[in-house]
Amino acid sequence: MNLEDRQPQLDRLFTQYREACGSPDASANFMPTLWTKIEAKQSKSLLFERIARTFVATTMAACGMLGVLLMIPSTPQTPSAFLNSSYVEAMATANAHETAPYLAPIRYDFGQDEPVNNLDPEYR
Amino acid sequence: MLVDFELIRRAQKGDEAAFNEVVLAYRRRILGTIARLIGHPEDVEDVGQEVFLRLYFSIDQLRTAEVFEPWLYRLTVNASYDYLRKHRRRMESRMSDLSEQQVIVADAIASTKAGAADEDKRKTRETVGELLSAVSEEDRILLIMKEVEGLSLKEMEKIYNVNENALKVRLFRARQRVLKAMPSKQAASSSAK
Repeated sequence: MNLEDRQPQLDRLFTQYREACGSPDASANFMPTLWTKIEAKQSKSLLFERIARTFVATTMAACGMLGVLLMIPSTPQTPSAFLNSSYVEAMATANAHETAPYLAPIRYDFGQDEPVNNLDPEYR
Repeated sequence: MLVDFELIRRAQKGDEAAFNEVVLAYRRRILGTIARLIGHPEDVEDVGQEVFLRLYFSIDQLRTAEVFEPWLYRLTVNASYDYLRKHRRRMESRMSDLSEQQVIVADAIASTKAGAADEDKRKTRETVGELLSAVSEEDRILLIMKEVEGLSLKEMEKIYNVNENALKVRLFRARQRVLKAMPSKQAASSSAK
């Protein structure tokens, strides 16, 4: 028996299968259970939506706060003055309180040179 | 179409009463299709509820009410396919836990549970089920949709989103595999009796 000869036999089997399976009717609980499942899934997705919204709102608020913090300068100097000055000037202004006398260039007043008369003869 | 397009449009807009009517209209047909696709009567309702659950949450994505039926069939096929994959894994793990003796006892209990009147139907279901086990789950579903459900190639084109020629080729190959499996399977079942 080749494959072609078995074709009608297979068709018959499929027809019998359709009748054997039939069309089962749903039980009385079908619709209530379906709606329970729908509501359960809806509440889950609503919960997720709420969490997502809260997260977005919190992130937006945090971004706003960081933005405000960045806008407030840490020193009273205005940005334009800061940008227009040179690096050395900016550093000097920013660290004005650190310009202690001991960091300034050493100046020593030798006074007017006077002839040295009483020096040790050895050094003359 | 078992319902008019207006009802589907209302269901799309979130009208729960309209959705209820759609489910009631298609319930029997969909459950019948699922029963033939999965071959496990005890799980038909669960899979059916999964289909309508997916329908509820995706009906607003349907472009036009005119393509509702092929679309519902696609949901049915996908849910059945998911069930078959899960069921196969479950069965593999369960059967591996049982000894050979336990499997024989389980089979005997299952066969005595069925009534005598349903014996022929059960045999037919088993025979076709065995034959269809020779092909993949995709081919099994494809064959049932065409040969048992009686869908046309045009209708199947809409469900599978592939052209008619590709469907014909796949159907032909699936049919050939089942035909090749036929004598050996039947010989095995007759020798078992």
